[in-house]
Amino acid sequence: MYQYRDIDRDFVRQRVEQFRDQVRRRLDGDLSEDEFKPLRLMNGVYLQLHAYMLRVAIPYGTLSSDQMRRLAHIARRYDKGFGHFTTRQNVQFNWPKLIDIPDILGELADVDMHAIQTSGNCIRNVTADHFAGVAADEVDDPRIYGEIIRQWSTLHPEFTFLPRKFKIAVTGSPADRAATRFHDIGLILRKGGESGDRIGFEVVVGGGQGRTPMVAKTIRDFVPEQDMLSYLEAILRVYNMLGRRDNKYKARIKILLHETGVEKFTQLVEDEWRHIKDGPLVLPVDTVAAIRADFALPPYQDAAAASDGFEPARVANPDFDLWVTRNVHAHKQPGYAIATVSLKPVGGIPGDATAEQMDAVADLADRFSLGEIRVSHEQNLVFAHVRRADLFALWQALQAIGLATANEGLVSDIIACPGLDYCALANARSIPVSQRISSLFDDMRKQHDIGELKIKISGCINACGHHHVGHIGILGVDRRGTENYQITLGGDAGPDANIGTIIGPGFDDDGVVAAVKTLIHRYLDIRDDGERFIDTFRRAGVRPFKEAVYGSA
Amino acid sequence: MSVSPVYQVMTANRLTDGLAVYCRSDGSWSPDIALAAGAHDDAGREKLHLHGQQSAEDHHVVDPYFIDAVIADGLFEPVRLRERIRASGPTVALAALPSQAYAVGD
Ligand code: HEM
Ligand code: SF4
Repeated sequence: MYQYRDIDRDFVRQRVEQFRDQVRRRLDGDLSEDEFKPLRLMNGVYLQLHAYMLRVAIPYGTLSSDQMRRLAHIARRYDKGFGHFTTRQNVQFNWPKLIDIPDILGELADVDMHAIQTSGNCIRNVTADHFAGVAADEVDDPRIYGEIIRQWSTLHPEFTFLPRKFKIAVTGSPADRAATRFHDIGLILRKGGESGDRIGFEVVVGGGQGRTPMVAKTIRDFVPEQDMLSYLEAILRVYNMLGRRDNKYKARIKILLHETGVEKFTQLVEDEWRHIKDGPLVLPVDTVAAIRADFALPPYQDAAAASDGFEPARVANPDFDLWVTRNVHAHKQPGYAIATVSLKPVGGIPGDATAEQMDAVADLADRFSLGEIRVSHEQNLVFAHVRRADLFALWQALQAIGLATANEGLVSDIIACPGLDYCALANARSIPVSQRISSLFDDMRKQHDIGELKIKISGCINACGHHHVGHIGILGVDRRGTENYQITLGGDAGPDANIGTIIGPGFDDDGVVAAVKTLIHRYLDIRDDGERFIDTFRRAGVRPFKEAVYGSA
Repeated sequence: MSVSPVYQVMTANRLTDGLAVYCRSDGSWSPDIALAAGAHDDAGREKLHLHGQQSAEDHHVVDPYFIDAVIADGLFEPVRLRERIRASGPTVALAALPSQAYAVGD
């Protein structure tokens, strides 16, 4: 992974000391809350329902075992013993004290981590495919470009006060595991150019969720690698000049793109780009090569040796086999595998991990995955370099710490935002609903029979829980003082990007759990062979599902 | 159960640690809503309002505001669910282990 240079380290240290001084001045009364708030937000510090919340960046979702241990230490020493991994590949601490936060940031800086640009109207932490660098189906490693974007966007003076927050995601795979079409800018790596073998990007712009969900539009099929930053800068510049600042609900780039029209918007970007294309932002070949070297694949073992004993263990242990079918994925390197560590125990809190679990995961990463861990936008962890021969031992070790749930992509692998249990903006709780739905099918074999089903829950229209793109999406609303839940069907965050449609009136908390159960039973009744829930929905439409839930009146 | 009148209670977040706190009649703040002062007339509200303003100016608390509360079982209980959760903490356990994490309900 990327190794901090002195310049990165000095910068992060300076920033910690700067914030330490800002906190001191706030506590001494030299700064009012109005003056302090934008400063704390730039350092990832929110004030939530019960306490402050600190959001720590995990750039493009990759962290080392030492970094994970530090997160565990912070959870234990400064928080209530746990952390929450989010859909933006960040980790959030829910209970830090303001007086401790400078020390926490210092502890993070010791391991090359920070909370910069995890909030505020700037370019946020860049996200990427969690299988980056090792996926069998990828064109190139998106983290190389994620890192270049991190360096370019960090404290970028022109883009520190944008009309609104700005999120960029990069994927190297056509399978798009990074939901690029639901970001302000999505970069999809591909080969192109005159010879057809140059690395570059399809650029999609104006996706997003929130109260006005939109699928991003392609504004250029191919931008060569060397022009990545100038093209991004051109887009940001157009947005910064023309994006609305009078109304926060209309300030995202998706609204600008929508109101301007794709053609005109593209023209504005291309015009701007022409001015800066061949300037200082051209990516030097040796810079890219140096960063690429940081992400070079580690020395792998011979394929045959790496697979010893794997197949027999599968045959002998049906539960292990179940885990392999869902949580283990094809790796670039023969003999190796990618393993997902589910943070979705049945009845648990999506994305939460205790300090003990974080420590144990760090140890397992050292033993089995070259000391590296990924955070996925689906709120799970990933070991990206596991010898197939080690999968059984890894699975056994994960079982011992409650992290071997064989449910990746299944009904209990639910994304849920913090909702009204933590969030000051929420209308309704998300976590208890996810706990009850995930407990509906506590027989894991039944879950496997139901197959891939993405349920996503948000506690308000901001859509942090991605409900718009859930196969089944659940949105919490406030209905005259009580919690009410609306169901959407047919959303998809992948290459077939789609926004779900509301099926009808909302439900109370018991009602929404019952309705989800009914929807799943209807699917099981009408599915054709091999159809996933989303396939059946696409074939049969909303009607049979609506009838199941509301009757056929 | 007899329905209690609706009181106004002054709440805020404490500057140093962000915890939800409630204003007492002497102008001090407690994380325990049971110890809060409840106002039911303009004079009471005015007094709490001034306490809130003063504490924000003195940098003890952030963003003071009134909530509605009733008395249930001898204690203040906020009317809105949001404020009930804010007063009593998350309705879910604090850790990820399934045995501990199951919803504890309202
Ligand atoms: C608890 C404190 C949080 C606050 C105050 C907050 C606030 C917001 C707001 C206001 C928006 C809407 C932005 C817009 O439409 O312009 C939003 C969107 C979003 N948030 Fe959060 N959020 C919080 C937690 C989270 C968490 C825990 C996650 C990850 C699980 C998350 C991920 C996202 C995502 C993915 C979106 C939608 C994508 C987009 O269109 O920007 N947020 N958040
Ligand atoms: S979706 Fe709403 S309730 Fe959930 S975390 Fe985001 S802002 Fe809070």
